[in-house]
Amino acid sequence: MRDGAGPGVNLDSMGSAGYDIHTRTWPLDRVHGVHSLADAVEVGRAAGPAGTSVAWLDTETTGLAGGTGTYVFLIGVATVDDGGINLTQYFLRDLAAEPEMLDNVRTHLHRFDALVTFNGTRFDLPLLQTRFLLCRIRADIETTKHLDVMGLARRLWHRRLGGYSMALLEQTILKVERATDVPGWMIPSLYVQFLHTGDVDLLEPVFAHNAHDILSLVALHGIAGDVLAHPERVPVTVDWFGLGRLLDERDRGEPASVCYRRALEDEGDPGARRRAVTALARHYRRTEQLAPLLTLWADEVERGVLPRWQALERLAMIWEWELRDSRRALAYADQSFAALGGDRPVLQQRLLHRRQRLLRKLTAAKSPQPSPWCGEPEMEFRSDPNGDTHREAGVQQAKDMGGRRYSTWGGT
Amino acid sequence: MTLDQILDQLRANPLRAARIAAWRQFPARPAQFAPFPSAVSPDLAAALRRRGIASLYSHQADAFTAVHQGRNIVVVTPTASGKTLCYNLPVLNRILEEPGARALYLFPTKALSADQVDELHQLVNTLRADIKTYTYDGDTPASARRAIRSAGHIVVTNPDMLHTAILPHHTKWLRLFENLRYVVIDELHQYRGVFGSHVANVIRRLHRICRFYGSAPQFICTTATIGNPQEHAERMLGQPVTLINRSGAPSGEKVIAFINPPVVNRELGIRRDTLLEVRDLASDLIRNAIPTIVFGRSRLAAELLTTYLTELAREHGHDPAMVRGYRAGYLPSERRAIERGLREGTIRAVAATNALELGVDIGQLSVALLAGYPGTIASTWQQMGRAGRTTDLSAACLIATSNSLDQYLMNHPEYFFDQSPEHALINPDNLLVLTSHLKCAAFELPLEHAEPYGAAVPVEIMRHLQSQRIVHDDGQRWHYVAERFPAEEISLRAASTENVVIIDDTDPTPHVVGEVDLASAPALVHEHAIYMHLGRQYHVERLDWAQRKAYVKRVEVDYYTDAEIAVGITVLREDASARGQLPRAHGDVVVTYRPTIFKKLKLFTQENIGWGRIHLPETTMHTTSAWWSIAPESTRIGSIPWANDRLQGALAALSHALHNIAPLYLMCDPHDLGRVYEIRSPHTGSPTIYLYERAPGGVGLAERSFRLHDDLIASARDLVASCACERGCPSCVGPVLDVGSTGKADCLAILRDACATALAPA
Repeated sequence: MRDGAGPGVNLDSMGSAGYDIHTRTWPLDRVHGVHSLADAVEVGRAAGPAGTSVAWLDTETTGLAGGTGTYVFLIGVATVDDGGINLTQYFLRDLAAEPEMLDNVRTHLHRFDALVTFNGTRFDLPLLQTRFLLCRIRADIETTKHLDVMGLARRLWHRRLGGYSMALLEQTILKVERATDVPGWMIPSLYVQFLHTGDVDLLEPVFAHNAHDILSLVALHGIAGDVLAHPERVPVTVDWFGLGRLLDERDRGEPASVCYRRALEDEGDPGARRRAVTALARHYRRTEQLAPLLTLWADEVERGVLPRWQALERLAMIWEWELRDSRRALAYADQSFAALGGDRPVLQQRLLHRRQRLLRKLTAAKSPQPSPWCGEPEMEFRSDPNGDTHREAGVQQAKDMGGRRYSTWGGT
Repeated sequence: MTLDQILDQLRANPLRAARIAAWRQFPARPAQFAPFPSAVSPDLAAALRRRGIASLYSHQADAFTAVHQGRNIVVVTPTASGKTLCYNLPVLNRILEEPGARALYLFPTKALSADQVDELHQLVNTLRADIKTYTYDGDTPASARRAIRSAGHIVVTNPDMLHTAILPHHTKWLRLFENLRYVVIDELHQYRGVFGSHVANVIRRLHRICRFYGSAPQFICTTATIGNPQEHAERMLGQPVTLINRSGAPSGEKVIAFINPPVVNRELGIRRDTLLEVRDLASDLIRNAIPTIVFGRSRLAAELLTTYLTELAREHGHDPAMVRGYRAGYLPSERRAIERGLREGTIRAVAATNALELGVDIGQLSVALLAGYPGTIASTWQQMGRAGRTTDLSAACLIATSNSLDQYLMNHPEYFFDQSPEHALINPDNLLVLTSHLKCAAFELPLEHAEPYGAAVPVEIMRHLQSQRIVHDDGQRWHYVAERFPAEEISLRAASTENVVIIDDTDPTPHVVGEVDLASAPALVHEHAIYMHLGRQYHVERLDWAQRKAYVKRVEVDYYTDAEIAVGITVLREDASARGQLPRAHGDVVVTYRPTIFKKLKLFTQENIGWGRIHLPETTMHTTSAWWSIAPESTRIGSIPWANDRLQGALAALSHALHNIAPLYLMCDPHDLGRVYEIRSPHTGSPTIYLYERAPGGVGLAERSFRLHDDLIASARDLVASCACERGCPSCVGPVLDVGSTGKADCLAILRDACATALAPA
């Protein structure tokens, strides 16, 4: 029995043509990874793709470089019905039979209105499109509705796992083992060896590999759907920021913000922290939650993972544009400038610009009270001996003010 | 003073007139106009009129008509004859009639395509039509590529991109290939030798892809003057081509002069330095701000000339910025600025290498000075063609070096004026080249068993690729089944595209001042070299070979450096051999270059003021070579063999003489051949001299030297026998310092013996 992927295997071969069709069925109660296949299919819907009938697709090729000289010699298509998950593998035994086989694949895929793949956007689908064109078959596979689970996996796991290859995800997320597997890089040469010798046994591990990939694809699709549908009870490890972004893209701002807050809980990397803070800030601004917005940046000033000048500049921006208080905005702009240090001319220029605009706004307002630094701002900044205490006080003040202001705004 | 007066003075001054080896005057030629052919769309004709083009030159009309009749054409175009209209007119006319139509423009270099696209854009703007022209090259951002593939009417690219990026991904270029009506190949003469043979195969692949998509584009080629434009185009395209070579463009009166610098050392046969002679000639031109271009044969020569001319400008009270250098290795922005300055007249003198032989648009110059024979008649005409006004007088001078070819021309000017320019030679069926491209072809589309590729069906090569499991035979077709992307393994150009970047870290913020190709780097930017750029001097502090970076500091010194490279050779395979007094053979070799020392030479006087060692890894190249070994009886007195010194001198002399004479027979550039000799060759066991091809893999020059043996030997004998020098000079066997006191006589004796003996084939 050709396997690795369990019982319920069913083999057909249509040996007369230049290509073979192998089919097999996995029962729906089979568990692969976290869920049963039935559950995976069910909860997977939340991840997409839009469409009523879905086919999972994975291919094996004669090379990874792409271009017109790369053949797709094995196409696995899985679909689901009451009896289970049905896998059909189209195997190109004779390169001359490619047009017939692809015509058959096209007809098969035509019955479904959406595809799920792992890296299909960049690899499988363009390659199939090229093959269709070369065989003069009209099929616009690249415009079919399509979900590339690799895109989700990258967001959900790249940072946590340091990668998102199928092998890594099987190990760490699905926790399934492959008894004997052929490494992906060996597959092209095995096929060339088969062409040379005609020994189809060489390719048994490749058929099993493809079947296993599709099974894992269905399972990962399920987990991705589950995570997106219920971010509050995620069964596996995820990158909270990535999940937040995925939810944001699906217009689910509220659960997204929860994810961003979780992402911030223990985030010590400045880049990652800035992305999460920025995303959360965007959410607060969009939903006009100004108090949490001020608190968010004020906390960042204190936490000190992000550069302090940056958080202070954000506070200046909020006070200037959201809360329309030029005086407080100016105070933060000044603190930000002081925290910046002297060797960042572009940023200094930006802050000075803001400062000048704020000063103009203040002058334009009723009682112009010239700042003690008017005229020579740069010099004064450098010689301000109380920069540090000034800043701390400013943060505290902002917090107080933020609270008060928020209640006023909330009321209107 | 006007140019006319300067030329008169040159001939009136007896000291200078004595140096004139040839003086030809070519009368002015009026323009031949032709009305717009009736098939030209009224809109297009109106747009041209708005741009001041009221009628066509006759050759432009001929080109249009031939293309309209469905023929492939090759247009031979002198400089400033309006060649771009020869292709833009039919292409734009077709797109106006048939908005789905597509055209592909191939230019040999990026600089050229930038210029031509500019001109095309202007015409399209005047036309106010929705015709999209895009450049697709290595600099095209990925985001723009999709739009170019689907929407570009005219795609401008180069053969390298067609080879690696477009053909292997032809399905993405469906729109282009389905609707491809014209392929424009500009500067066809650039595609010769190995490079040309590769490009011919890229064109074969292009034909296959077009057939697959049901298109059969016409080809419109332009070329500078070569001996065989039609034949070359037909070999390149594998199709009949109509020749259009009667230019209707006007030209003013033109003087062509050969100037031979005076002999300064009769015994050594050494003439006054060419660059200094050029400097003197340029003096009056610079003083009178007459637009002048000066060609040096190497980067070093171009930079020295820049230094000299800048000095002249200063002496004559001009802004030194009116003089600029122009060569490969300058940054694109620098080159654009120089081209603009020339067109606008802020720059009046340029010192260039052959980078300017290409049709870059620099406007019209009055005088071209060639410091040394460029090696071929064709490129001499091209460089001389840089000077040429439509109405006024222009002049071009070839100033000879002591080199034998130069001296030959000075003594036999009719050789230059009466002989047709060299033929552009390609060999698209060169086995190595062919095999490489068959891999690419099979990758792009399976190859039918009976499908001809070029003239023949390449069954044997495909069987060979099959045995290597690169292709698989399904009974009717060969399919590419290897994993590697074949186009990436094959570079069309012999020279590697790798560069060494030159970084000036004199200031706290280091910046890139230029680049040199990898092959030239050991000689130009070894540690302690003086690298010259835009007439400025830099001292090379450190060469980071692994990172391909040279770190330099600005200096002002009164010397320059000249590196010596030791060349070694190993025979890999002997393809054919012949016995005789001078046993000879040809075959595959590996050539090893090892930089050894550099000399410090004083500016203006060339005085040697010091030297140093170069510590760099050697580089190797596979190529082909012809070699001759000398029978022991020719190199002994009685039974006593010559001392090594004497043998060495004879070998140096013999190799020099053969290297001098071979280019005339092979119709190649002297730089296409290198020479090496061994006192006792490990391969032949005898004293041996080699002439090897400098293009990796070779193009058959070595084999031709082997076959032309009798002629070569006889001519070399005549050259040496008739040379007036006593014991050797650059014109025959090389300077006496190289060949010793007996070198010339020994060499002549060997050559006479070889000619006297009947040559028996092996």
